[in-house]
Amino acid sequence: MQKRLLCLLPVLAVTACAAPSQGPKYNWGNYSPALVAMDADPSSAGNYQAALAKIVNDSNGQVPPGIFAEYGYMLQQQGDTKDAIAMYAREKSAWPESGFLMDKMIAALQTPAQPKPAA
Amino acid sequence: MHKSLLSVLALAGLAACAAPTAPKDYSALNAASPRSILIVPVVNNTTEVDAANTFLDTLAPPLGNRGYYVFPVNLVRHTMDDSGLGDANLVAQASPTRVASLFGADAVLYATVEQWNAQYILLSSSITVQIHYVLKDGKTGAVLWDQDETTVYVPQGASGGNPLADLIADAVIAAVTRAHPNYIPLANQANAEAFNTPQQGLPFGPYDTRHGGF
Repeated sequence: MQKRLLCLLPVLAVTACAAPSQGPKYNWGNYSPALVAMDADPSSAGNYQAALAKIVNDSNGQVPPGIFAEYGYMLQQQGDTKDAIAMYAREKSAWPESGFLMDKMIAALQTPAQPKPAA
Repeated sequence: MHKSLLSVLALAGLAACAAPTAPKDYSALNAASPRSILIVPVVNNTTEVDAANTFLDTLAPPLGNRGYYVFPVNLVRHTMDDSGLGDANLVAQASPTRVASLFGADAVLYATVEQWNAQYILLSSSITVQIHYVLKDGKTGAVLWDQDETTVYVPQGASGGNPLADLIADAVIAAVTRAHPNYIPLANQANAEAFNTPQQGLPFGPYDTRHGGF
């Protein structure tokens, strides 16, 4: 009886200890390493953008929070306004919490403040 | 013999998960019940120049995986630049309610790297990092949760079970770490300890079925 109880203790202790690990909730791909690399060397921005594109294209409806918007922001930086707006709209639709910010981002792109002189 | 071995095992098992501190008071956090977290630029009080960005760039995944909506970190950082909040210290001193209102955030997460001590010795190296995390209510500015985290990070290599080979591998890892430091595993370790420890970390957010629990 005592021996059996002692047998159980380590099992219980280990069980109690173990975090309810259910694996990562989303696929973040290469998000953090690519962002760190871009911060260290801005010329690797393309690599970061590719990492975001891969997450968006690989995750079947499980794109992590913020990623559509991060991808949209990179598109916006390149002047790809149409696709940037589409990504902001997807972020808003996937995550209602982002609605206020995404509306602001979209509105800013739809109403250019100053028409730039033609190059 | 068997019995004493089992006793030792039982004690070792228990000691390994002894809770060091009392459970935190989550009444303010539960009352506010934030759905969304705005991660603002990390304040760096150390001489390690990469510390701030390494932490800023690794915070979104653990918080998102915890069940919260996390605002797009890079977009937010550049938008803050445009709003005159380009410096992490400026953001930290600004009113949390003002910062939150710019983005429509329920809560704001501040992180400060307080200490960064690297020790390089002959065959291995370790880095001790102290980081302070504070979550503030976007509507009232009140502190909802905070954690002072000290983590000791030892760069790990895969052990092949050969002590001599391991020694050589450790020496190589130490040298590589010195030349081209990759601090992402360190930041991941500190963030995981800070957010995921039951009764100390952040309870699961609204996108996790265990919302409010650990």
